[in-house]
Amino acid sequence: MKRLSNLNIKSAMLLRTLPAIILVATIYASFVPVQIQAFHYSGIHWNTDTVYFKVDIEMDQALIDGTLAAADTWSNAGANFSLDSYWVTNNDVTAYNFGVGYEHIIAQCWISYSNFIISEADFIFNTYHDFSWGSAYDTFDTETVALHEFGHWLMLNDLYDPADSGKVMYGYIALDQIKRDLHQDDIDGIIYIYGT
Amino acid sequence: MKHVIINIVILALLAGLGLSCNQILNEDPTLTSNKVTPHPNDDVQLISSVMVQLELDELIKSSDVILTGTVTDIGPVYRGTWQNTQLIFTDVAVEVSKLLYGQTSESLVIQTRGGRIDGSVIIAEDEPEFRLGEEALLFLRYNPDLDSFIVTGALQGKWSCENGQVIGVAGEYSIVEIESRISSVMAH
Repeated sequence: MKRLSNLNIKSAMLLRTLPAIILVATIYASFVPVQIQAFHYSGIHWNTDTVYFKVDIEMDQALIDGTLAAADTWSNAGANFSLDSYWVTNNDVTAYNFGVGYEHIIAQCWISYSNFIISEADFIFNTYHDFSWGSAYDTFDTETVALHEFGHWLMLNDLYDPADSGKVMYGYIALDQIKRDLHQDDIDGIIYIYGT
Repeated sequence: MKHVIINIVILALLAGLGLSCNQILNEDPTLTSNKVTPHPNDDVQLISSVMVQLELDELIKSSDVILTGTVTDIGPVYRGTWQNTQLIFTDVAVEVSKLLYGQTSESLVIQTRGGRIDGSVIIAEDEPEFRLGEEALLFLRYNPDLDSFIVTGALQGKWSCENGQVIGVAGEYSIVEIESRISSVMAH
């Protein structure tokens, strides 16, 4: 009888505190999305270890060659992830002129995702600029640019601190600048996300 | 029994409160910034650009209008499509405090890429953040396709402004120094 009575007291206490528990849980649930930052490594990733991409064959050969070389560099970074060229995929690499007001953009990447899973990625070279894959003067190196854009496909962010200027993910590229090797931080980034 | 009924009523009220909170957070009824935070089940398009770095003189030369002003309103709009995706821009209304170069009315609207409408989100990482009520130095470019102003060089063209001092990616100056530099650059 005494045990039953204790049980009743405990049940009553639980019932009385239940609203407070629900309140805390409700407020927490309401704010959970705020804590998720798409542009920090929040778990957004590809649901596969091989991502296929399709280069627009109408593009200048230098853009195609630089893109393929950059994909190889990321594929050989030591992570359990590779980028392969294929004809049937929604992940496109294309080129066009971005128009007035967007001349400062050398290339742009678009990534679609929902529920932490990337469904599509594209990047576009801005043909307002001159590109080359090699030694042409006053041009942007296609491999340097593509290496940066593919870094976004892996969900690595732009870096704007001058201290990061040696890294592939630095957000600015200068004319004639060649940066075709991954910085250790870039490698650490892909390994952090996709493992080895 | 009385406690059970009271608790059920409280629970129902809290559930309603919870739904309201979530709705408010999801719909952003009063935007205080053009930057949005996606929720897990949103359909998100993330835009990232690699850019040419613009020094102050280049920012000036590339701009149609340069001014200091205060952000008075922020609101997302659909504008055009790209690859079957409806493009979301966020309009930022600015009241001009001081026109340093070019011509414009006392207030103007700047279009920034990205925003949130219902469950669709576009995030343009290189777009500068505007906060309601903040004062800024703005380098603006007229975009004829959008029939609107955009920020020159994306995040490079919006500088914070306080007590006559401005700070941007290309340095820290007084407004007087900026005016002097504009005169010098435009004279050549």
